[in-house]
Amino acid sequence: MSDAVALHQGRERRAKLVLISCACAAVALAILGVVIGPLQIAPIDLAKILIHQLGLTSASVSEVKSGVILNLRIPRVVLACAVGASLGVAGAAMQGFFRNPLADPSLIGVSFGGALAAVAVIVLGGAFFGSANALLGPFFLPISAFAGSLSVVLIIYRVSTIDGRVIVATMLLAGVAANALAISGIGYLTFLADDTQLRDLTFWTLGTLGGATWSRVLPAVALMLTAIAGMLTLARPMNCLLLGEGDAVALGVDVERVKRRAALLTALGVGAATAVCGVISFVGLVVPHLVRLMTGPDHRYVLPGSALLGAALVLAADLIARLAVTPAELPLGVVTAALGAPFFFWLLVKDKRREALG
Amino acid sequence: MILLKKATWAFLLSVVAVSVSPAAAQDRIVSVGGDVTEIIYALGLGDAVVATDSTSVYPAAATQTPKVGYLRQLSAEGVLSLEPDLIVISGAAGPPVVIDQLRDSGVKILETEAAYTLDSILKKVDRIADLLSVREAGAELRDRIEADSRRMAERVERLGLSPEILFFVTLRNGAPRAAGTETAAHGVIELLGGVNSFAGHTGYKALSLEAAVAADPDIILVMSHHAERLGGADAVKAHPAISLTSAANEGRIVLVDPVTVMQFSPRTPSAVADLAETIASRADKEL
Repeated sequence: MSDAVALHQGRERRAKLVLISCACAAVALAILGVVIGPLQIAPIDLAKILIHQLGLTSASVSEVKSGVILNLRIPRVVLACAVGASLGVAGAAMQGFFRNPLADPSLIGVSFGGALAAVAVIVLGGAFFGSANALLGPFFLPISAFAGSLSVVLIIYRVSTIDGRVIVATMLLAGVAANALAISGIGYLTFLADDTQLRDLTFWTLGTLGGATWSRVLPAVALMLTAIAGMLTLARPMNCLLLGEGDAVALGVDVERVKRRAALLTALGVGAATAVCGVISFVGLVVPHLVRLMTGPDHRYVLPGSALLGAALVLAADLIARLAVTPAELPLGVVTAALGAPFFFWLLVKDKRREALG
Repeated sequence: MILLKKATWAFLLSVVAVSVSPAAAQDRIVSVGGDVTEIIYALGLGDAVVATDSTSVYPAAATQTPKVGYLRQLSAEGVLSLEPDLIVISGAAGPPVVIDQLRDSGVKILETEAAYTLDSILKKVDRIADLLSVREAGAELRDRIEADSRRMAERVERLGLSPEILFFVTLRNGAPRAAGTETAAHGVIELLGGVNSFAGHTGYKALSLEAAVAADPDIILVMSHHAERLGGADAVKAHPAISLTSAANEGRIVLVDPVTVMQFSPRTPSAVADLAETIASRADKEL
């Protein structure tokens, strides 16, 4: 008995250590993201810019350098953190909700559903959605993307569940269908789009953080933080769900309510992220897996760990995207997919081996 | 003594160097767009150009500069990392949010219009020459463009009255994409005094092969690098749909060099004049 307690305590200590290291990595990468960039800015100048911004000195560095730091890099780093965290948590929540490790927002169409809604709003714009646009202002785009993502989550869930059990193969295939449908919709809308609109298909299919300006970042980040906070509160009921729905009900969990909230919050986080930076794939798949490998399956650690590691991963990938081909820039989705797709293969092969053995 | 002589020479040389170089020579220019790059070099300010985009392929010196990527996919910090004093961008550059970021950066920026007329070329030359204080070179370049434009007008006149022209920008995988209105290709058709067979659409759109046959244009223009990838004008002519048009039967399929003809740069009037001559030589029989 005391052995089991000691084991449990050891595991908790380890999980906490993992959370702390992920947080440190995210903070370090965020600082790096502000310090490094294609434009060389000496640390002393950076310090001056920040101190000046706090109103402490009048000494100022060139307008361009302070503009790069304050209006390009910092909003970009803020956006990278929020996007990474919300995709990471959303991936973890979806995997808990579907009780399946292959559920990932970009794989099963949730991201592309959001992107389709965002493109529809941009291209069809005032003509179709005039009054809603006036009402919601800067929140209109991310909220539309949320609606698009939510519809996909609901459709996939309906299609792939039989008696409350998710059929994995059906879920993945339904995701393939949803992706295909959404991408064809995006393709059609970009075909309609004129030059002054966002006619660029690659922006939506291989996201980028290059469009991070405060006015676009802040509303989306507010929505993403709401989604992240909401998902973190689902840790305990999700742990019960791990035991199976019957046992979860026996433990007093309102299963339907938990699932509804998980679906809503996932769609909100993914939709808001997609609305500002397009589809960033595989973060939601890779991050929760890595966290689970380190902490074990307890959602009290998996969810916050996925937020922190997701932020760190997107910050790192964005650094690569910004620095690999300066002064041009890679789409961020290219980097995350290049890192994530091999990981996905590895997961499949690992599962195959286990099945062969078992 | 020798040292003194050397110093004197160095002094004299530096005086000459300073007085010869235009006022703008100490500027660092990032030039985005093949048209504006060509103008900047034609004004003799190539030394000030520290970077260009991937569409800037003329003159050869411009290909040697660092590249900020494709003009529709710029990165704000990438451009600013070259520490420019001036950013000159073509009207086609984007994405819009990055252009906004550049406008807010505090660096001087000159945005030219995306228009496809002879006037738009002259306007670009005037604005760039004004801003960089090389009005004399600007006037010379303007004269040259105007002379070329007159030559072009003469040639176009010989083409006769408004032929119907279909302009394929790509025939990749046998699937044609044609130029509608609001495109550089449409501007070229207008310079040629023609009527765009695909004017019912805006931008570059996919065109069904049967629609191409049904339109039965007098002249078919094809971007040369796409045609060459297929195997030249003869391969285009042998295309199952295009071979059914009278333009193909009467040999009026003409390849167009996208860089000289379609960038609406100083070389465009002269290139369009040559194009008109090529078309005229094929159209002698009947049009």
